[in-house]
Amino acid sequence: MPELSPETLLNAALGLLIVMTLAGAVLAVTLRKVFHNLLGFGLSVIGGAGVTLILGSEFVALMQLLIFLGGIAIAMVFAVMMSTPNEQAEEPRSAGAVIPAILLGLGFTALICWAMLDGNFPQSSPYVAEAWSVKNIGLLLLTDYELPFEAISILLLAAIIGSVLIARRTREPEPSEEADRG
Amino acid sequence: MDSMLSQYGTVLCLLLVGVLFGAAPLIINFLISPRSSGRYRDQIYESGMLPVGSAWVKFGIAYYLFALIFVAFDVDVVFLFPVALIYDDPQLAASAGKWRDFTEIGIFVGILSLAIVYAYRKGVFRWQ
Amino acid sequence: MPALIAALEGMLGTWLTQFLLGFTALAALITLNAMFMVWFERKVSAWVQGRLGPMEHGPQGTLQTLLDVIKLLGKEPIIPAKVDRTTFILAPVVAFLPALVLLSLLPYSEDLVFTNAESGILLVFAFGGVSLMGVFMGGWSSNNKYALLGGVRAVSQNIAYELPLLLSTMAVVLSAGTLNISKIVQVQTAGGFGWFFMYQPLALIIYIIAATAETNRAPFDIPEAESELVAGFHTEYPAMGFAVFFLAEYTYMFVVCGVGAALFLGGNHGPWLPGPCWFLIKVYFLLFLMVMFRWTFPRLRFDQLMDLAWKLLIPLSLANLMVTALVIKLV
Repeated sequence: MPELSPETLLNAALGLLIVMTLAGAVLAVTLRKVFHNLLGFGLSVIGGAGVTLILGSEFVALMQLLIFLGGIAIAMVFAVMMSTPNEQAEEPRSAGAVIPAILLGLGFTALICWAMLDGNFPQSSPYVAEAWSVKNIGLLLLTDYELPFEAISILLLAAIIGSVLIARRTREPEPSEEADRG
Repeated sequence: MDSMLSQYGTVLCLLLVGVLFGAAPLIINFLISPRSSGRYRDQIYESGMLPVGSAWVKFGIAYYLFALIFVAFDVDVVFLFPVALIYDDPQLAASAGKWRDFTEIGIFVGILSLAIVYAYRKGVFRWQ
Repeated sequence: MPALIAALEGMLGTWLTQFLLGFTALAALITLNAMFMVWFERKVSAWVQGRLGPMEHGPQGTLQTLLDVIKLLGKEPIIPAKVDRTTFILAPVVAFLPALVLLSLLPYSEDLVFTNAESGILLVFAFGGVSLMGVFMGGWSSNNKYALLGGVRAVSQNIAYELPLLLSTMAVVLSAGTLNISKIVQVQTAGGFGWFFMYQPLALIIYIIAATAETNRAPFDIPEAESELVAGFHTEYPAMGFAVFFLAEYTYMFVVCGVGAALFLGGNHGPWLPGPCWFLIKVYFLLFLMVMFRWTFPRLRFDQLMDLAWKLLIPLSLANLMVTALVIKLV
């Protein structure tokens, strides 16, 4: 059965997921309501997780779902609540803001592409999951990469302290806003 | 195809079928239901009174700080899972010594707890 | 050409038939579980309050839910004028989307596991986020202040209780050394090891509390607190939209109880009866506990809810994790 080999199915799934990722990304920047942008972001994250999975890294895919969807996208919901609501959506987009944004986006994409094409990445065969199983990552984190592992916790501690500091500074002067909490 | 991918293939198919299964009752409902009309039929229901303004207003949520702490904490906890998998593995004990993994997880969780202690001391969890 | 088609059928046939069989079984489980739970919940509440509950249709009112479903099918699906139409229509579907996958991850017996994923536990929690997004979509798109508040509350609450949920399961993962749910069951059944609740009673308690909160069940039901928020995030949903949200909610309850039964209560392990029976008995025992919580405890205030998670459950589950790690090393 060469026509419907596992590879063909895999490529079909990969294509579907890439389309999903790109569609989500386009929705995330073009739609006019902040919450719709967030949903586009969510779709893009799910697609990206699928692509990562097919490329052989189960753990990164699960992390992407758990952290980006279950954590960051959910936390962004609060940002949606605090952003200016839909009156903004009716205003036409100004070319002065859109064109630099497009240029910046293209420039960043080019930079990433250049880095990927130019970089000397070790060749690894696709569709191999064993080498990057969750267990193996755990082993590496405890042996070769113990310092980065501990550094993660320190980095995140710093992030928490930073967010508490910033949030308290902005929070304290206006107690009136506190009355309207969820 | 390796077994992990074939399993996730099933997951993908179940998600696709899940859309149909979730949408089917809505579609059937739409097709067979009666239609009514009336002045207030399309109103938002807020305790029977006519709603005042839109619900989409800017409102400050005191809780967003928890959301920020949650994201950082979540990343920490997800990193703990692979380590928990390999914990007390003979392969690891042979290469790194018996108590190595315990101390490393101890330091990790210790630093994590500092975040909670800090937030607690700073009164983040105090409901003003 | 006919040879090609035959070969195609030969190859896809087995997989497709298995998939379709599995799908049918899971779909039946979703529907029957929701219908049973609605009836069960009403009966238990009646029993607690000294009433009879539904009695009219069928013996002990067992057909009541079926008739309710038929009634809901015939109701008019009103979409209010000022809602965000696309999101409003999509919300119940998104909330329901992970239900099949989540159920397929549970180990009903040694052989009856639909998707035996190596990282099963992480997958369960990962897809929980999709469902939560659906709930918030419903709350936000309704353009209703009560629904929006319900949605925001659901998100806040899930954020707070996700961490104790993850940390309490991690204590089990630490002892079992695998994320595969059916392998965790095997660890408990092999060689007289015993079920994990004997070793991890604190983790089980934390898990049940956090799971109750994650599923927005009373006493943690402030997202749909009917005495203050009309009906919470699904206030604007009539007919089947409402029913699909409910289907998703009851399925998610079944899933968290199923994971709890597999992780702490030995899954399908038990004497005399076949595996799937034991699994269902354990799941419905946990579901019974959840229903009893609803009729026993008063609803928590929002600050009490947050205090319970951040000041008590998270520190406790972290401590439990470290004690577990120490004990594993010493034994």
